[in-house]
Amino acid sequence: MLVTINFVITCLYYVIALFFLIAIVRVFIKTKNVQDAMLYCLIMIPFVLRLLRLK
Amino acid sequence: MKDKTNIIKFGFAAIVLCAVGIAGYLFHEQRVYREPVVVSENITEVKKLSDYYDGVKGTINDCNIYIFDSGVPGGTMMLMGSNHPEEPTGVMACNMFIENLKVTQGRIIVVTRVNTSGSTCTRPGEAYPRYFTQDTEWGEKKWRMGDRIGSPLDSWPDPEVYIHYPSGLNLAYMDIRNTNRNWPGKPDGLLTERTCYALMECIRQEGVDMTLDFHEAELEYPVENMIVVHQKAADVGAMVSMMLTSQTFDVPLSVDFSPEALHGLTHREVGDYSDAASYLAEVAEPMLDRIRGITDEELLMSGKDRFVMEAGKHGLLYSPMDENGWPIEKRVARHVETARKIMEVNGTVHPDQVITFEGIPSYQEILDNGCGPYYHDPSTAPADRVFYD
Repeated sequence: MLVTINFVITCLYYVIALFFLIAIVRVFIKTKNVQDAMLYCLIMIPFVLRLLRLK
Repeated sequence: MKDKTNIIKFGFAAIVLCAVGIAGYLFHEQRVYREPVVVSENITEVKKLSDYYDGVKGTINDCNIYIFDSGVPGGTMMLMGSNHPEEPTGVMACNMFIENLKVTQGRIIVVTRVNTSGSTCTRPGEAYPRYFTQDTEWGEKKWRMGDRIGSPLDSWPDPEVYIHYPSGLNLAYMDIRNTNRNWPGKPDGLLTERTCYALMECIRQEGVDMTLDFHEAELEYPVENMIVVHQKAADVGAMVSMMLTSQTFDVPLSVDFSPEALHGLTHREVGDYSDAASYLAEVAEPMLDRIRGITDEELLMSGKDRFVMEAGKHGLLYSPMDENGWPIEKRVARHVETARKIMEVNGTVHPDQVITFEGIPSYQEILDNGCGPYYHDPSTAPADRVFYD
């Protein structure tokens, strides 16, 4: 039971991570402020590493 | 103006992408690196952990079980390394046994990587090296440096509070991934619980008489340079402590008895849930101290750190620490000699459990020669004698 719950939560976690990554990429493309764009780039790093299951 | 903004934006994004690529490659490289081991020509069999319980089949923790059977009736000893993968002398001592052992009476079983998952990543925020190496006559032998607990890539999320099975003891949340807090395991639990259950099945099915779990500890921690023993092993443990302290080691090896209310550790649960007498050996590892300086492979292998040494001068440590540090050969030699002495003393106390063996260097030989001469070149060894952990 616990194994199944963990699996479901893990799957949902990756969906949420993907959602936030898409949202960050979207605001990155839209913004005209260079400083904000740099900030969005840095924020993307952990999301990308998680989605690729590297960290 | 807009073009210039876009150039800066996407230029920076390209730099970040490169950083992600490099970091990702480094993480992945450690995750998939496998350690070659050249088994002794006297090995009997190499099994998988899933041969004892198929709940770990196909998982990263389905480790190798190296079995040396003399064919002569006697006792059975199991040696365990890398229960905590950030304590590397366990895996080095186990490899020394696997590559050189010839058992002449009884059986010895070696499990090099109890928590393989934990050895595929390092502890976040600690700046650990990803690998450590030992110089040999044929080149460098390389191992993964790990974390204390399993990787979240293999078991996640953790509970708010980890409730140990079957005792019900409440432990810290991350200990659900700590193999030395999950014994005797749970067959339908999370990966670490299943791993410990499979290892308990191995101990029970193989009729193991003694287990020895190799560990290291920071010098600020009181359980240091010590063997912790289950009450079944109190007599042997006390004798081993006295003999090694008086005859062999420069720094005493003390003995402590496994607390009956502290659950999840090998020295308690293996003794309680099998016929085996359980031992756990600790040796000083300055790299684990919170007050250490630069955390690199040099510190890991030399065991020399000026901040830890300074703490020692002020009497703040539970272990002596001077400019000689705690070099890896001394730490490995203590573990190897402790294993030898436990088998020797146990054989005198329990004549039906005698284990004798050859090929393993003495404490003094390891101090004199270092660890390098006792590891063999996988590139020139026969393919059927090379295994990967």
